[in-house]
Amino acid sequence: MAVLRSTTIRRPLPQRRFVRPVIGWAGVLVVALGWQLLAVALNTSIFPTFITTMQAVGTVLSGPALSQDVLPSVERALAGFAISAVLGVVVGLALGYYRRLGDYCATLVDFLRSLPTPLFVPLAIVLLGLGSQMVVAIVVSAAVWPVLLNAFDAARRVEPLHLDTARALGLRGVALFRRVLFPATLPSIVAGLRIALSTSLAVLIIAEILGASSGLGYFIQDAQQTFEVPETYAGVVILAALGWLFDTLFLAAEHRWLRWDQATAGGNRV
Amino acid sequence: MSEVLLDVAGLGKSLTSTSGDTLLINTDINLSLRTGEFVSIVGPSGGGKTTLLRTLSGLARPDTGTVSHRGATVEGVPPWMSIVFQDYTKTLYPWLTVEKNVRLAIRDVPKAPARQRVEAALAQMGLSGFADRYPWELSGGMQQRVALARAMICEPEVLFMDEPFASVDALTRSKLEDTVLGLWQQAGMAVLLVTHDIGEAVYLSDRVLVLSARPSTIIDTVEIDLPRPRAQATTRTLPRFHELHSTVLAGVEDPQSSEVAAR
Repeated sequence: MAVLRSTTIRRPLPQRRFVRPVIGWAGVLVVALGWQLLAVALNTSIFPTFITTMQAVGTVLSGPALSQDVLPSVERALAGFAISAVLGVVVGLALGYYRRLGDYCATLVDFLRSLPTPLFVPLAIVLLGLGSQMVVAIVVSAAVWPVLLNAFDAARRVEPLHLDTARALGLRGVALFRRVLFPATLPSIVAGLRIALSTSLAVLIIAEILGASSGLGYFIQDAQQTFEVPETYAGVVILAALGWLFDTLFLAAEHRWLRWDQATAGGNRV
Repeated sequence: MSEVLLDVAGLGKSLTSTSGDTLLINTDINLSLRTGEFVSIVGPSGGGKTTLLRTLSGLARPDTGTVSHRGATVEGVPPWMSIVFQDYTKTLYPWLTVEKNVRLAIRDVPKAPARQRVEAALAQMGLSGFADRYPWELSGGMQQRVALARAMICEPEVLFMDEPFASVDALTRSKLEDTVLGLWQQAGMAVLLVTHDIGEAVYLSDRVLVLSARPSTIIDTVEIDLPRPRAQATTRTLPRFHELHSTVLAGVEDPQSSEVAAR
């Protein structure tokens, strides 16, 4: 339907919306086909075919693993992402707006964010034990930085007249942050949030492999160690699908939130 | 008789450049603004007109001297004033509709009556029907009228304007000048306008203050005794208009201004 309708409109907009995803899915199809052919040709138990893998995906998603592993992972990733978003925006904007405070904290921030995430896992296990809390804490320790740094940077570069106007209108404190600083920096914040979302998922898997007894990371590792090869591949495919789903939903939300920015940027994205 | 609303005594202001040098911008500024008075400040570009306005409006703190309002020293940004800046593209918030931009100035008023007031203010500016548009969908002149509506809706005692008509075309400019004159006559607030356009200052004002080159101070005051109400076509063709224009121009070009600058 949508594709048919797009042919009647000559603006570049429908192309971007409909034709590009079609080409994108064609690429996925080609890889799936290549996977299938290669697996059939190799005929080995350590490399299941695409069809076998998709059947395993179906089994996993209709079995107990859905509620034991997949959904907890989704919850942890989203919880970690949400905490990172709030923490990153609040701290980032505050450090960016209050210049002196930002100068004091700059070295500390640089120091903390350059620590590799796996380093925190043993520490988090000691502090929080094994389980969801620990995993969420690890996710936050990695996903908070792209949000915080983007918010910080954008708050430092915010148009001075936006701030002068706000102050002339009597805005100060929380009202100034909420009504002017936050919307003015939202385009940068959203860019940081998108990175944080994919980081959340990646770090989630590391944390679950290293220190959890449930979740997608645990599931993949467990399947691998018990030689359930199609299930191992199925876990990876589910993870990839989740990543795609998160990003697609995120872009849809961004499109709604930032209509004004896309329009003022003069691009053809609206 | 009108009373003194704003009194500025011995005001001085320095700014620190990015390279760390301290630059004296305004020095020993003395002026007063009476209720309902229209006063313009003219001076060369780069002379610190904007800095002066920022200090007078409380956006910046004076280094020396005082700004007082009805006898009380001004601290911070006072509620009795509004500002219209030159660059409307940066003072109207692009993420808010026209209506929400204006309503921001009366955000403590409940939503329903506030909306009504905004609609009335927009109608007065000839912007009925544009409430739900975004500022960037409007022409430059219309955007500046939105900024004026936002400045006027909280009924300020003093309206500060920093080159408000410098970014629009000549025709829009003269229309906006008359819009401001109409608002001023109707609302009766005091206006302090900063401009580099001498004709504009003479046409609009009761009094024109001439600022020297940097570090700037007021070197001349010209009373504008042109009859009101004024109109572009008639007022600007009066012989007296040209006399006053020449007087102000002579003040701007006075060697004293460069002498002050050399000190």
